Amino acid sequence: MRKLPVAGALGAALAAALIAVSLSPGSSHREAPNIMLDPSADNTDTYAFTANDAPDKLTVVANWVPGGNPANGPNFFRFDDRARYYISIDNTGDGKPDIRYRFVFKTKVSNTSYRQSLINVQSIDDPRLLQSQRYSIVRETYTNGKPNKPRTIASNLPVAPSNSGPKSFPNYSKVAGEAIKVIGNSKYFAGQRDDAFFIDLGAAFDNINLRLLTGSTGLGTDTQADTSIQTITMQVPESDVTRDHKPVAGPDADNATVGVWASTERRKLQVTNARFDSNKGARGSWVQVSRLGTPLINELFVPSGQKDAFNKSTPDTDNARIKKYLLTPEFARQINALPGELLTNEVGLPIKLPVKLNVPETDRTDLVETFLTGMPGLNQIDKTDPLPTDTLKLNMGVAPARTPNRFGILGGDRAGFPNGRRLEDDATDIFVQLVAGFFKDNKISAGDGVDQNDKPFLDTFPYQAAPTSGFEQKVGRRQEPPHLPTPPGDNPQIPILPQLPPLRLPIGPQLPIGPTVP
Amino acid sequence: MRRIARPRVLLVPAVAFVVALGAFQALDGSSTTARARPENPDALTKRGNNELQRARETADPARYTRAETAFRRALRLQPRSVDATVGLATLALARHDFRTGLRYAQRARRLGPRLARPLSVLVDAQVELGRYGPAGRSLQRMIDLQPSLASYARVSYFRELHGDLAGARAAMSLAVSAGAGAPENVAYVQTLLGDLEALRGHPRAARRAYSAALTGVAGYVPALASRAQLDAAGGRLAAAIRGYEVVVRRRPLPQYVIALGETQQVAGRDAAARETFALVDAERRLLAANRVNTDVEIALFEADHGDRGRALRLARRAWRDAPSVRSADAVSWALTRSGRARDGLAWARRALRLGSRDPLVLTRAGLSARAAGDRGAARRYLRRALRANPRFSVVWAPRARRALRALA
Amino acid sequence: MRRPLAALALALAVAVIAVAASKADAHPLGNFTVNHLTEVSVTRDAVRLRYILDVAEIPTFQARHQSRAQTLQRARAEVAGGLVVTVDGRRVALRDAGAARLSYPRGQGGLNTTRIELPLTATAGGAGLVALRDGTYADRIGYTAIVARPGAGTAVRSNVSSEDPTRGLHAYPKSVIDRPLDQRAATLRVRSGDATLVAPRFSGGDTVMTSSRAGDGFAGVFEDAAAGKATLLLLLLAALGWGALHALSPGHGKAMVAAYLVGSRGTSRHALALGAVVTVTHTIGVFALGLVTLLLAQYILPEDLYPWLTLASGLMVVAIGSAVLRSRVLLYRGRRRHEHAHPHGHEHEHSDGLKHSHGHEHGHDHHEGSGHRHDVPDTITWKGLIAMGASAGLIPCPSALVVLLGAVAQHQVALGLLLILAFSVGLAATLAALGLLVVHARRATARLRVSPRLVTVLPAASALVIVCLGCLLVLQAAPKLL
Repeated sequence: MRKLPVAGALGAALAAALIAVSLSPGSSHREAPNIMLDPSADNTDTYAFTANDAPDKLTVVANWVPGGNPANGPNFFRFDDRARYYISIDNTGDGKPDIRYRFVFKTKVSNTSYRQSLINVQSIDDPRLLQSQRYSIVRETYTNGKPNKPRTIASNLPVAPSNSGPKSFPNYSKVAGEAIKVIGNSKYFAGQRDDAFFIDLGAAFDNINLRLLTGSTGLGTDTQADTSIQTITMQVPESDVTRDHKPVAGPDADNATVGVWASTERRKLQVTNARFDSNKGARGSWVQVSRLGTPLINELFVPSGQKDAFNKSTPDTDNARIKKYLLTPEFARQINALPGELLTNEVGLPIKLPVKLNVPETDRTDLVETFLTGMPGLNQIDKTDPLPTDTLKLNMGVAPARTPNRFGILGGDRAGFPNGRRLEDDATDIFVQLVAGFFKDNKISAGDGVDQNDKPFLDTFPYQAAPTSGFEQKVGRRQEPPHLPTPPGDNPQIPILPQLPPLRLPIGPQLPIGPTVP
Repeated sequence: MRRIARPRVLLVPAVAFVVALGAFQALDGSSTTARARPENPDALTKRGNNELQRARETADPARYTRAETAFRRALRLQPRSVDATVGLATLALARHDFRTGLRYAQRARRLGPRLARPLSVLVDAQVELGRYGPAGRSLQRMIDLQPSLASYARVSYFRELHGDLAGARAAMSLAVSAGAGAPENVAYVQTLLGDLEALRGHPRAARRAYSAALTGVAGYVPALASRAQLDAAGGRLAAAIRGYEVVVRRRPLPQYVIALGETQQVAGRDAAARETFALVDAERRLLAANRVNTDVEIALFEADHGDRGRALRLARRAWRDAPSVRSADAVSWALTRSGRARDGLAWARRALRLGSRDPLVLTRAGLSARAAGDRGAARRYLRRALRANPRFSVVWAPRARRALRALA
Repeated sequence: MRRPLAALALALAVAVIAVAASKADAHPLGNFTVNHLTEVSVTRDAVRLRYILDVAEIPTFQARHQSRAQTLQRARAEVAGGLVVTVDGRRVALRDAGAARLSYPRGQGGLNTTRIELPLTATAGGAGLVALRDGTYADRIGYTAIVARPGAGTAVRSNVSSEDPTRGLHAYPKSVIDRPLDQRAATLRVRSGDATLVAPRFSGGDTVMTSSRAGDGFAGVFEDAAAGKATLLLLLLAALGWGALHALSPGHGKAMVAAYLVGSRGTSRHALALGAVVTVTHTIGVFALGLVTLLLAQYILPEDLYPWLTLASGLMVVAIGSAVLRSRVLLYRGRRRHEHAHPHGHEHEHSDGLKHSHGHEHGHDHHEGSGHRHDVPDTITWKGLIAMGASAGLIPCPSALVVLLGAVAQHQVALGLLLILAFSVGLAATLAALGLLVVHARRATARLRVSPRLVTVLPAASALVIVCLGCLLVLQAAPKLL
């Protein structure tokens, strides 16, 4: 009986042999794609912070459509006209949205061509721009969970086009800059930007490829370099989002903290409802297909069989839905297993890291606190009985840091992740160190070895850098230069190893994260 | 004296043996390579999916084999992998082994009951196997869980099968709008949107959709073929033949070759048509040699241009492998062409049981009804075939019109 | 008895091979493909190429009206336009270097395929860097590869492999995901040397060095063959060893064999013969089950099939165990009656000589049990021996099946048959050894004055264990079937 797994495997190989006969020249039966990659609805990252140049405002950067390769034309990158994009704010701490900004897009396509533009586009209204998108903003508010009448803030706003190159856009920054719209005391921007996220995804999509000797010492490869995303960036007065409609007096004010997340909704259909016809403006109900508050929660904590359900759910259900996964995180076990799993390097020599990482695997109330309820004295919305919800909780009363520390709270910088999230925050490293037990006296200097974005951020709205043009684009990788170990997770018991080639992990976590060797 | 070894003990030599077998294969250089490098099930699944996508783009069957290798390796490392199981289901469906596809889909569904992806293959298998009720329920669950290109496109096809062309178009345009990571996927739904527009008698909208598909993926074969069909239906026979010739040179799938031959026939190029039909016959022989029979197109072709007895055999086998309305249509037409019009009409009713408004199926049903002597049904079917688009096909529309005139 | 079984075995083996062969015949890359391979070697003064084109059935059929000359001319034109060779950055002209070969090998469905070989050469005295780009048939799907070969008077470092698993597009091994499917560019760094080539392994990773005076890569072929043979030997030994170990697992009729030899006047010769019979019948059993599985696998997922096989084998093991148990119980009852009747006689016999006591014991057994129907015959006849061995060997054995199916899956049917044989020999060796052990143990037990009761109870106990194991198999299979 014990032999049967082997038998099963070989039997499967047998079946392979049986059906691997030369394929029939096919026929026209439908083979609709079933790959569920759905970039136009996929939330990639959400940021919420207080900007240096706008200390009395809440700035939210919500990104969609991952991995945009600028040279991937002639399809230009866009939002889905038939989807609804949301930025939601919870100011009471119940995980239900109190204010939602809804963004709806409309594509204008010239009938004559499917190119995005002719050459020499000078402005965002230039008729040489053949394909472009416009959008409208609706602000929904809720009182005790009941929707009030939504208010249209603006409509027919231009979306910054995809940067296809200097021939099409001799001055892209100017054209894209015209997509920044000031409405009252608020600013809005939608369109293509350089992806602010930086990480060494390594060969997570090829073979899990751990780059040893990275982490706090650089040398990681930013696999997101040069890739672009579609962003919606908004900057609204604090009084627009606080529970009492007043500005925040200070970090200890009752209204100081809000929870922010972004989501996407698509239309549900009745499979056999012949009456449905989108031309007639008939309404189908909407269903949320993606949501994102805290980075990496869905990726690293939620088991794969629950991911679709998580994307469909709302933060008020997180207490029942995902808290348990944070209390005993699988990812902690994976980190612990890392040293033992290092099997061979390229030349086939077995290598084992002479370390024990001692990551606590159970009773991780610290993780629930940092990621779901907010940290006491810092970013809890409801300070008496905080409910675990996956929202990005920002205390707007904390003054922005002049020189942000990429480790955020872990580096003593109270204006950074997990108090909200800034573009500069090294989410991957912070995340790994938190899960490794930073608040459980197990400080490990681990990370992916990528410390900053490939392009500097802007000092002013919309903060994320202009996208690399399709013309200039190099293959999207940038290697972090080596540097001395940086705090905060100093862990002197890990010895320095000699220079080694990249190691391959057998079964790795979704993110390749090297136990760091300072 | 006779210690009975525990089965567990035997696992060790068993594994050692299989490893030795693998080593032999590797050194033999003819099959698997045994590499010391450990593998990651997620990466393997991802790789398998990439190969599947490449197979969609190139129609290269070697990609299927590679995808299969990847999925099986992934399953070996992680036997409960939903994605790898879905991958195997996709493969089985691509190979027209719908029952196997259904079993893998059901397995995937058991492994991931709260995921949308297993539902996509489940729906496909159920539709091809003619289980429309369960398919509709699976599809509703899928779209409730995750509206996306994948689910919208399936809703569209389901509505089309039930004769709801407007609803099908609406769903397909949602699919186009939703888009996908791979340009081919978008081109695919754009082409299908064009086909729906053509069915509804909107040739310009159809042409726009095909152009969009071809802009997204240069030389996208299905869009080229659909455009050639549009040309043919619009009477631009020379352009249609040129278009089909390009398609057949790149990807000589039977349905394209047949369309080329029929267009050549209508254009009066009989010699060329005979040559083209000879290619169809060669492909039929290859299909037979490979024991693949789920090919409705070839059965219909045989009924019209070849051996009617064989047409009936092929159609019945297609029905056995995939009892869908498409197969019922083939059986019906093969029966009618073999002089058994009464049976043919019964099968035509089966082909139309969902309420399909496919003018080709309706025309064949009308002709079957006429041959069976049911003039009322014949008129009804033929009128319905010509209603949405009187010029739906260069071959079949004139036949439908002639038959209708004769009935009047 | 023996002849029909042997005939059956032969028939099954042929059937298995036939099934596998008909599958292997299929053009593995599909009937649409245009496959091409370029072998390249750099000698002291020239770049030598062999361009091999394998056109599958459909494109061959599409070009059926071309004459041989036209076909060759088209191929030449395609190569002249698409195959670019540069030497130190300059493109060089390719000349014919011998007669082109054109043939139409038989394909599937009574259709032909096309095979063309074009020997080509280009002058390249003292080349440092030779680059190749194969742009031929760019819009056709198919296997495309460049293979490097050592050349006279040079030492070459290549970025493409020197291995060609297709053996010049004659065979398409089941493709493996690590390999490139569409390899259209190669770079070779050339120094003067003694016909050596350093090239990566096909599957990537480390490099391998090939050298050849003739520059035709024969040495590599021999090396591979030698390596292959060594592994084959290892593999056969492994199969033998595994078979030997495997014989200890339940369901191989050891209990029956032992019981048979214990219960009858078995000699060492009988034990060995029994082993031989088991080898034959077990091989046949595996082939038969293999065939059934192959046929069933067309309709059932193998993953779904295995629990059923387990169940079936579990039930069979239970049945066998029960049968043995029953016979043992019957025998035990009979013997108990006998013991009551002749308590002294037994003791006497055991302390006595071996042969005598043995014969005597059985004489009594026989006498006492003559009224019962029982499975243990009195004396060994060849017919009985073969029947015994056959029933022991024919019990389905999933492990051996794994070997066969695995080999068939890898298109290595002959290897599979060989391995099964080795496996069965190993199995038989253990059973024979067990038989010898039983024969001798009987004597030993006699000497050791082990209670005869124990001698009788022990087989029954082991039969009970077999039944339990069978139940366990059934229990393990059952949840998967629900």
